[in-house]
Amino acid sequence: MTPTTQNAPGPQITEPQLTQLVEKARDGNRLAFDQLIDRYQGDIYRMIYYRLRKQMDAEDLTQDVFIRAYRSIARLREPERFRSWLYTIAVNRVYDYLRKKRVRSIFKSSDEGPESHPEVDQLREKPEALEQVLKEDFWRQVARIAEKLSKMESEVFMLRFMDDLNIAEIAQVLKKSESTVKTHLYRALAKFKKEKGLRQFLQEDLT
Amino acid sequence: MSHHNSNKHHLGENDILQAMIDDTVLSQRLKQHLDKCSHCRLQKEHFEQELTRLGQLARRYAPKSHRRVTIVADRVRSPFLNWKFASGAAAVAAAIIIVWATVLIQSQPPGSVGNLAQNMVEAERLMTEIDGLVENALPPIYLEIVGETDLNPDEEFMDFLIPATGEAPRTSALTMKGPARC
Repeated sequence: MTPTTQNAPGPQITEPQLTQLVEKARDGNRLAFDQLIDRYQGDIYRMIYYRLRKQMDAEDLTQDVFIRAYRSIARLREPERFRSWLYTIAVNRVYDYLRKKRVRSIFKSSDEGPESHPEVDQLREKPEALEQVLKEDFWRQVARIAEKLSKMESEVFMLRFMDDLNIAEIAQVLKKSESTVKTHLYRALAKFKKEKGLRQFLQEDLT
Repeated sequence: MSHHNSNKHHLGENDILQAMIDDTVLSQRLKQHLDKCSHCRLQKEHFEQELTRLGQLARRYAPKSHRRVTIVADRVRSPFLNWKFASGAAAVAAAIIIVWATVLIQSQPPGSVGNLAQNMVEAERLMTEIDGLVENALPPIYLEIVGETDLNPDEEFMDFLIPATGEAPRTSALTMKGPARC
């Protein structure tokens, strides 16, 4: 199972074209960087959303990730590693956000959890209600499995199966060796296999 | 980790996981078995499908972002804001001012001291005129109309023109908030 960047939504760009764009952007070409934004904005936004499950915050962080990338792209030595480099910035921003949120939660009586929709009963009567209920159930199951994994297992699992990165890219993003990534992935998969709820959900969806 | 079943060494659960992550770690025997055994292959493929579906559903159930990322030029650190550049620019500007002032002083003719004294007299005259206007800004023609030909009209007339600040204007009570006072 080899994920390809072609699976991801967004304008399709071949590897040589991507390298060329990154090189141009590195030399200060704004248009080239805008094309990179077009290509990766959706991926980065979703990657952040999967971890925060707050749309507004995910949008803010996505903006921030690209601003940081724009500021430091001149220092990117290997243009072919642009994707994993961008994900590294995104992962770091997510961790920063979660760290700050934890600190804030000490001073607040209650902190907001992921976006929830308490008006589910009302939604049941609408045509899109089933989709909404399925969506909520899905994210609840994902949160449940994430709780059972260690931080590294969860990150590796998400990067591999939700963000569609390959082992080598994950190793670059997390600055770990490929064998370490494989070990964490193996443990994560073993735990995932025992998680009946999400697996049942996925199996039902497949049939 | 394989188990024996009907004279066939099927892959164990852990072998399936290993094969999914990196099939190069499997022994040659297990690899050959996986290639030939439809049962094991199906098991692996089914698990892979579940994980692929997980990624697809995550994409589908994530809300769409309505915001386009924009890189505003002024949000990018300008080289002009760099402190090294700023201090260099300040040093160059200071040097230019010093050189310009030196050249200007040296280019003054020897009689320029006399000009300076004349300028001071003119400045003093101007200041006297301003002082007069501060005392009474009315032109002489208006002073004649009101019957005040000197530059120091009496206090009563000035009070009429400009009431003293100590006295509250009559309209103030009307504009005050709260209960009216008698």
